[in-house]
Amino acid sequence: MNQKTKLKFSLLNLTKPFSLLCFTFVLFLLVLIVGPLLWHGLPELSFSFLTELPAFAGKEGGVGPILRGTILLTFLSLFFVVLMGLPVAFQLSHPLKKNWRSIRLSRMALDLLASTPSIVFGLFGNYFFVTTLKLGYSILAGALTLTIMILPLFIRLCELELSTYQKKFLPVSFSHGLTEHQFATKVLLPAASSSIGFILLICISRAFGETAALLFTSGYSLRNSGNVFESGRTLSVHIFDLSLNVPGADQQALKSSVVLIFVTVMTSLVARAFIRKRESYES
Amino acid sequence: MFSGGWFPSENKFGFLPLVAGTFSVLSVSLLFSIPVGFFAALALLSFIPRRLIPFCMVIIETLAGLPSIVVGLYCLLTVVPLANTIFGSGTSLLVGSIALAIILVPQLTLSFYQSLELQHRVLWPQAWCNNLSADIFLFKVLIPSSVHKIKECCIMGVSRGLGETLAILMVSGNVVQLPQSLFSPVRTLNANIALEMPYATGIHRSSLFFAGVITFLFTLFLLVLAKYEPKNKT
Repeated sequence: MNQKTKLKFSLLNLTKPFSLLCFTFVLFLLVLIVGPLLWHGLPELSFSFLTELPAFAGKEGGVGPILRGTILLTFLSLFFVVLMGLPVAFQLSHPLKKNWRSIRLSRMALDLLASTPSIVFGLFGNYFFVTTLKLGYSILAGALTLTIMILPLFIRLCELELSTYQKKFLPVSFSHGLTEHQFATKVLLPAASSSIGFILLICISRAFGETAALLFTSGYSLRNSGNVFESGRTLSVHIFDLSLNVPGADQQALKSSVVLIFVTVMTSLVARAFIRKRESYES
Repeated sequence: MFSGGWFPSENKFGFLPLVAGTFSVLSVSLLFSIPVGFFAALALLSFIPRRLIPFCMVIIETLAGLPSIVVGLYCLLTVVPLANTIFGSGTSLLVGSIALAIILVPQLTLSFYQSLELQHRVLWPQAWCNNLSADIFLFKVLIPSSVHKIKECCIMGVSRGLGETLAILMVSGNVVQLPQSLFSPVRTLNANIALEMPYATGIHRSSLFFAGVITFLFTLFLLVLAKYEPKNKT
């Protein structure tokens, strides 16, 4: 009775060496990639690199204005994302409207937008924000482009989060006579605020790593004074420009990429760890 | 539109070499990264001790979260010189697809593992009660039941690879031509947009926008393919 049903020859044992090989390869990739970048970039990284002005087209000096521009752009676009995304996510996750045709259609549209290449958003931003709205190459145009790029991701993740809370709290709050607005602001937002925070962390890591959408919207300018109507490059555009267009700036590009890796990896790791912990807690 | 080459100065805008470049890079890297990603997920599912899994997930998530520009920089600084000494051609189709594979493998591993693990959690109690051995469970129950999910993961990987621009641009050489061999430089559709957009005007500019439309339509097609589920299966 205790004998387990088995295949004639064990496929599992056949695939074992190969899959272990693949797995060690994936783990090894980390050492292979992040290792050299840290090895060459980290020893020469200093705090002054983060604050100084760049000199000689970025060959020397620091990334002060670039970092400031990146942070400005990211938070500007997060502001727009929250402003537009939360109400939409609230409507999409409503348990009674879930199967409405319009809701289903907008969900499909969001899926499509979430998998659209970022360069297409860059083209759209260049056409609409830069040319038609006459914002020019500016941080604001970049932030708006980034907004429409991140928005689908944010809405889909928020919808997943909100729908569990909606199912839990909607019947109770309505039977207590709360209006929909009261329910959204007094019950749902406080309950879901921490998970929305972590979704925003994922969005920040996406925004920091984005290059292609910003090439033709926020421009290449090295010195930005913190004005959103001026052009200013972000950290990843800076790395792109240093490594391709400026000869002999590899060291600076490596240093900037260490900063970039640090920000994106930390934010996404914290967010994912939080989400996984909550999943294991709920199941 | 698809005939002739891409010569903007002579008003010739044939997309064929660009589309061919895109698909050659994409297919070479997917040929490598889908099997590796799948088997790595399989190893994570059944051969790695449970206790080590959170640690492994941190590593894979770190890799999946790497900005593509960083991967491009890495390939430009280390893989290109290496390929130059070994094959005698630095920036080429091969290096471009290596860069793309480095981006795709961790992401594919992660998505394969997540979908298989979800199914594993649902089906394992029943299989255990029915006294199934691990290999019967894996190959006769788990994988057949999540074929659709696996297909979806693959297609999302394809569309992610299609959207990748700058990492490939940095290392693939950017010569507009039909790819002759694995070591010839190519230019992809997206790289072409990124390279020529700053100075394009008039019909050149609008044809670049049309290249954007082509990539967008490919993504749409892939999404429909991923979401389509054959109905005759219960």
